[in-house]
Amino acid sequence: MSRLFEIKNLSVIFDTADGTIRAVNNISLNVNQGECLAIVGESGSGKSQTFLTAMGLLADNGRSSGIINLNGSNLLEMKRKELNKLRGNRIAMIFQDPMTALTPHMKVGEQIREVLVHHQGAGKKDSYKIIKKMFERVNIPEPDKRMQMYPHELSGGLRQRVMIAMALICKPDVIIADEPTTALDVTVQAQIMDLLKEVKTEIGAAIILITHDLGVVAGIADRVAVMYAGSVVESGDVFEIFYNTKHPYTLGLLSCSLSLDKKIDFLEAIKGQPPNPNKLPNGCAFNPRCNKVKAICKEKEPKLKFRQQSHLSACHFEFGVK
Amino acid sequence: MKDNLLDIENVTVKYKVKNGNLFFNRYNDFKAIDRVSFTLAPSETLGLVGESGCGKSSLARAIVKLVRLESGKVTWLGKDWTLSQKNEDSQFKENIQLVFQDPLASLNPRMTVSEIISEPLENYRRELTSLQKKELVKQAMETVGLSSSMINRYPHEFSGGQCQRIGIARAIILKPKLIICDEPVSALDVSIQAQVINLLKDLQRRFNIALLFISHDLSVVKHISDRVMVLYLGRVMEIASVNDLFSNPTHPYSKALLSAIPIPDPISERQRKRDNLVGDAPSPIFPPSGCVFRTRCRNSTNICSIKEPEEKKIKLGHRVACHHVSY
Repeated sequence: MSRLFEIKNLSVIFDTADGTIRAVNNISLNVNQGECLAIVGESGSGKSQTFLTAMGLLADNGRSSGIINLNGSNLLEMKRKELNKLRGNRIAMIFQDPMTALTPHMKVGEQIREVLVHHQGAGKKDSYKIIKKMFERVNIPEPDKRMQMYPHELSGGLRQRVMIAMALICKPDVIIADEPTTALDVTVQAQIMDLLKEVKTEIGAAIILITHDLGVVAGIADRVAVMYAGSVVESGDVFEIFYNTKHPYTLGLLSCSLSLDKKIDFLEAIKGQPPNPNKLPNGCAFNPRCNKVKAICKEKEPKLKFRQQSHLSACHFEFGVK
Repeated sequence: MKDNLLDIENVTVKYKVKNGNLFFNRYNDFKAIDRVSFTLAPSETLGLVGESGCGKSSLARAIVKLVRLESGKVTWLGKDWTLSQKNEDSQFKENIQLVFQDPLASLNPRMTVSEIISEPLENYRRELTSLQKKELVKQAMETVGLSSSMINRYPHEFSGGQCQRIGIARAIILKPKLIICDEPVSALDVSIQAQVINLLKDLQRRFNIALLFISHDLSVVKHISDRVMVLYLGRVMEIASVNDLFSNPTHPYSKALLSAIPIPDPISERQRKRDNLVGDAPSPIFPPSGCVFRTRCRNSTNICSIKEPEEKKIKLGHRVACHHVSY
């Protein structure tokens, strides 16, 4: 069975004045239908660049190599015209900041209609009906009125709903949500996450959720991939990642994320800071911050290895701590 | 009350917003902060939580007189600060320092780290020689975990977490009695967030500093605070000790806020029953009549739209503003 969406050995390199930067380093990921894959990592870990590349949105000074398959066809080799038929149609993206992702001088209804007209050739009346139904689906009150509004007239939560409506309107196979709730208040975040969960079961789309919030991951993800300095350091089933953590970086992330149900006096922080992508340390990229570092970590880069069925970890050692 | 560091009584902050057309300038008043009262004891941490637009930052600014108070009283160590003249202000300001949200934007890009950190000294410790100042700057840098060899660098050479440490070093160099932290960790990565929280907690213990910790993240607030105040549209909804608020949230808004926080644990997160709020917070320019929270509240009844609830004391140090709370 071919995978719905698959990334194979993807590398992304940027040429900058300070030399070449390896933003994404030979990563492989896949998602099946109706599944939610969460990509976790800190800023600069390459999590957004991976999927911007998939959408053909790589910056001019970036080069990519590898394969990104959607339904068996490689997105990286496609011409712009072919890609435009898929983007917004079979693969859609929800961005972090809905204010900058929506066009400010177009009514939101118009913006969504553009997608429908482009991909499905829908007429004016039909598209109006479809959009209204979609607005009701994503719980936008008074859809008729909201369609006539400009993005700045809507609140942050409503704007994000408009973005989700736009992403869902062609019933895509894959939805990439890049930090969809980071700019929102917690109460609104909870509403949006519930909506995404419903969408996942309802239309059976695969969701790729890019986030740094492990709480959000715990609520929705089926599988998790943890990224650090452009590489996947651990991936697997969500329960495996949380309860049977293998990589010291994931362990560090878990122990320093605050939770309402635990009260600790002193947080076990990961020391140091994420490495500069144009001078990654030798060997394991995490070695300067790792509290279990040994000599081999500074010499050899660890490979992603199976630790258990469908649980991969890139560490020289087997830390079955917890 | 003599023991309190800071006494805030019925503080109101009003802003004017333009609401006119081409020919007429009309202004609407809106109250960013409406009759807020609280106290802060020495070396205590008060967490201030609420959604965006609830007036958290306005309150912080009002305390340090960066915005004008419409009414109310700010008392610092028993002295009324609202009435003080400009030349007396320095005594107060010396003891209250601020740490801001955006670490890079709050540092002047054209000043070196040493100039940034020593700026408070230039204002309040003029008697010191430049050598003494430099020594103090180096000490402060070491205290917040920065190497003092970086003293001549510029802010852009540092990462977000390090910039926030510079901001903290600037705040502690005068050994203040109170530091107001306005979302100090929300722009930082998780691993860096933990480092900065640990640092703040450590500094507080070492120097007996009181913290007013503003955040929208309840799990951070729970970790660092002794008491917590919940704001909504500029009004206090609930104020209580950390344990009371998190084990026994009484105001419907506090309950909703708590239930909205995701827990990084798949099993308990998936078993949890959510009671989500509907809709967004209303515009603070046209707040609802009566209780401001009633438009999103499950328990709202007739009285909620007519009368504004008063703060009720349900136990020592635990106040709630809701009609439907019995005490």
